[in-house]
Amino acid sequence: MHEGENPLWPCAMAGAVACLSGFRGLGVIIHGSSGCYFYPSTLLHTDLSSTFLVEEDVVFGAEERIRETVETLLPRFDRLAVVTTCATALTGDDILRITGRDDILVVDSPGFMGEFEQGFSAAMDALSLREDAGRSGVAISGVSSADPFGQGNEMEIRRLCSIAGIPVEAVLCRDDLPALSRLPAATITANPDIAGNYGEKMGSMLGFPAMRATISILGARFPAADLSAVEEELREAEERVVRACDKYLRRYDPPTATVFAQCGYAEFSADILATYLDAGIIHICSRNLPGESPQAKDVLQVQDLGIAEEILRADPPDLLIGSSFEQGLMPATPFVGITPPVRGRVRLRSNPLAGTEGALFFIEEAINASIDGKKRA
Amino acid sequence: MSSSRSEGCTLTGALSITTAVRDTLTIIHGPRGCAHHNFSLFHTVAMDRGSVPPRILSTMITEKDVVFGGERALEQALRRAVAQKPGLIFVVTSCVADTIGDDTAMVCREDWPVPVMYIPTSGFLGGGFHDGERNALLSLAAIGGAGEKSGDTPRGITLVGEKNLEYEVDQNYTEMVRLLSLLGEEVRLRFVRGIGARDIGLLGRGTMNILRETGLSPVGKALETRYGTPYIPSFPIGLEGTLAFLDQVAGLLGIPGGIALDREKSHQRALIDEFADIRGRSVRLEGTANSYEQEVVQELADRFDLTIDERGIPLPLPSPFPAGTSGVRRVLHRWRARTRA
Repeated sequence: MHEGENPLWPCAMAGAVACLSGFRGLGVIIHGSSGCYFYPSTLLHTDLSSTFLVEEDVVFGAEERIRETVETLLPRFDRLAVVTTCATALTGDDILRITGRDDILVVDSPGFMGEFEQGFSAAMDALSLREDAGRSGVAISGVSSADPFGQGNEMEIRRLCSIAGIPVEAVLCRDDLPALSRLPAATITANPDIAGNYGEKMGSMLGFPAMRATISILGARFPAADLSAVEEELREAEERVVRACDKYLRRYDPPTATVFAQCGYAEFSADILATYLDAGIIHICSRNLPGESPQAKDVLQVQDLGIAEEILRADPPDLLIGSSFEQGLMPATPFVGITPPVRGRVRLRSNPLAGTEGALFFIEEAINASIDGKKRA
Repeated sequence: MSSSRSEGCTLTGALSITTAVRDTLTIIHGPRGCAHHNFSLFHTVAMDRGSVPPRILSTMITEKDVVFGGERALEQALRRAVAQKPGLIFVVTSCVADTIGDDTAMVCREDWPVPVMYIPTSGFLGGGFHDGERNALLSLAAIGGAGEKSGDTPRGITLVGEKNLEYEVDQNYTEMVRLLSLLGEEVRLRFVRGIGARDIGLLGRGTMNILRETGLSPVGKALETRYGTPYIPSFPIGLEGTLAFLDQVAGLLGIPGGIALDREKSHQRALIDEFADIRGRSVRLEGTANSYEQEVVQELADRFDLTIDERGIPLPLPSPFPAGTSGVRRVLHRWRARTRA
C-alpha cells in the first residue's frame, strides 16, 4: 500500500484560513512560519498575513512578533483573526492575553488536527454567526476561495434565487464581515463539505435531484416565492442533458469513470454520469471523510496519490474526474478537472458546478472530453 | 522583515535537493499537510516542465502522535518506503517532529534493508529554505566517493546546488555548459539535478566545483576539505562577471583562457549592439535584488545609458539573476519588450 505517498489535500490550517479569508474586513494572521504561510497564500490569492516566525521566536517567545503583527494590521481591518499552525498550537501562545484584546478571533487549527474541511468547519464555528429574524431571504453556504467553482457557484445560485424572488442575504464564506451578525435563518449550499453547521438547511444545489428537493423545501419555506420559473429551467436543462447524452450514446458505448473530489462534488459527478450517460462508475473517491448519507457507503476516502495510482492502475477508467494530480497519472485518459489543482488549462471564467448551469457545464465537459478521447484513439 | 522570516521552510529546501536524485524516496516526518503543501509545489513545477513529479511520503503525524510520540509512525513510513525498493531513502523532519522530541536520527540508524539518510531540517525550527538546501547537500556530500585520483578518474567540472525549483534552471545550466566549453571543459556531474544515487560517488573526482550561489560556500568548503577540490563560489552574472568567471576558471585549472575571453568579449559586443535601441531610456526597476545583482543591474544601466527614475518605464529586476551572457540577453529581451509595451 502507498498510504501517505504524495498527500492530495490541504491541512486543517489551510481550511481555517480559506474560511476566514473570505470575509472582507477580517484580517487573517497565520501564526507560524513563512513555510506555513506560502501554501494558503498561493492557493487562495487573498490578502493574508503571518507572524513569520523563526526559531528564535519559539525559543525566546513569540509575544513581540504577535503584538507587532496585530498592531500593524489593526488599522487596515475591522477585526483580526489568528489561526495557529502546528508549532504554535503546541507552544500555546495566549493571543488574547498577549495582545490585550478580546475581539481577536483565535482559531486553533493546526495541520496535525486533520484535513481542510475540519479546519474550515472549526473556523466557521469560531465565527459566532448570528441570525437576524428580520432577514427574509437565504444565505448561500459552501463557498470558498479555495474552490475553483466557488465564485461560479455563488453567481449561479444568486441567479436562480433571483428568478424565484428569494433574496440572497449573505454568502458563507465570501461576504462583508458585518453580514455574519445579521444572517437569515435559511441556507442553501453550493458545496455540502464546507457548508458548516449554521442555519436551517434548505439543501444543496448540486445536481438535478438535489436541486428538485431543495426547490421543494424552498417552496414550503418561502410561500411567496415563485419557483415555477426555476422548475421550468430545471426541466429544460435536464432535457438538454438527456439529449446530449443520448446523442453520445447513439455513437459510443458509455464510458467507465472514476471520480476524485471532495465528497459532495464526487457524489454529484458520479450520479450525473451514471444517470444520464449510463456511465459505469468504477470508484467514487473522496478527498475528505465521506458523510453519513446513504450514498456515502459507496465512497472511498482517498487521501494520497499513491493510493489513487493503485486504484487507477488496477482498473483504468475511460473517463477520469478529479485534479491535475490524478490526470498526471493517466495523461492520455479523457479528463474533467473539478477539484484543485486544475493546471495546464487557462481558466478565466467563473464556471459553476452547482445549479442548472453547473450541471450543464459538467456534462458538457465530460462529453467533450470523452469525444475528444475517442477521436484521438 | 528579514529575509530569513520569508524564505520558506527547510523542508522545501531539502526536498528541492533530495527529489532531484533519481530512484530515491523522501519521507517527511510530519503531518500529511506538510507533505501535501510541498508535493503540490513540486507537482506544479513538474507539470510546467513536462516531467514526472517526485514521490514524497508522509509519516502522517496526527494529534495522537503528538501526545504519544511519532517514532512509530516514522518506522511504519520507513517500512512502506522500503517496500518500494528505492536506492536510497531520505528522511526530513517537520517542526512538529522536532517539537514533540522524536529521535528521528535513532530510528533512521536502525538496520533497514535500504540505506536511510536522515537530513536534519526540523521545519522552520531548523532555519529557512536555504538551510534545508545546504543541509541536504552536505548530507549527500558525506556519501560521496572517496575521491581517489586514479588513472581512469573522470575529470571535468561539478556544478553544486543548482536551484531545482528555479524557473530558468535548465537555461542556466545550458549557459554554464557553453561557457565552460569555451575553455574546453565539460560538466561531468550535476550535484544535484537528475542524477542517480550512485552518481554521487563521482563527487570527489572532479577538477573543480562551481557553486550556484555564494550562500552555498559552506558546501564548497566542506567538499574542498574532504576531496581537495577547489571551488568557484557562484555562477557568473552580468557581462563583466562572466568574463571574470572565465578568467577565474582558467586560472584555477591552470589552462590558458585568452582565446575564450576574446570570443566571449566579441559575443558580448554583438549583444550590446543588438540591444542598442533601448539605449538612453528612463527606467524604473521593480522587485528586490541582492547587492551583487544590483551591481549587475547598474552595469547594464551604465552600458545602455539607462536613467533610473521613479517615473521611468517599469522594468522587472530579475532575482535570482540568470547566469552568464545568455542570462543578460534574456533580461534585455524582457526589458526591451517592456519598453515597447
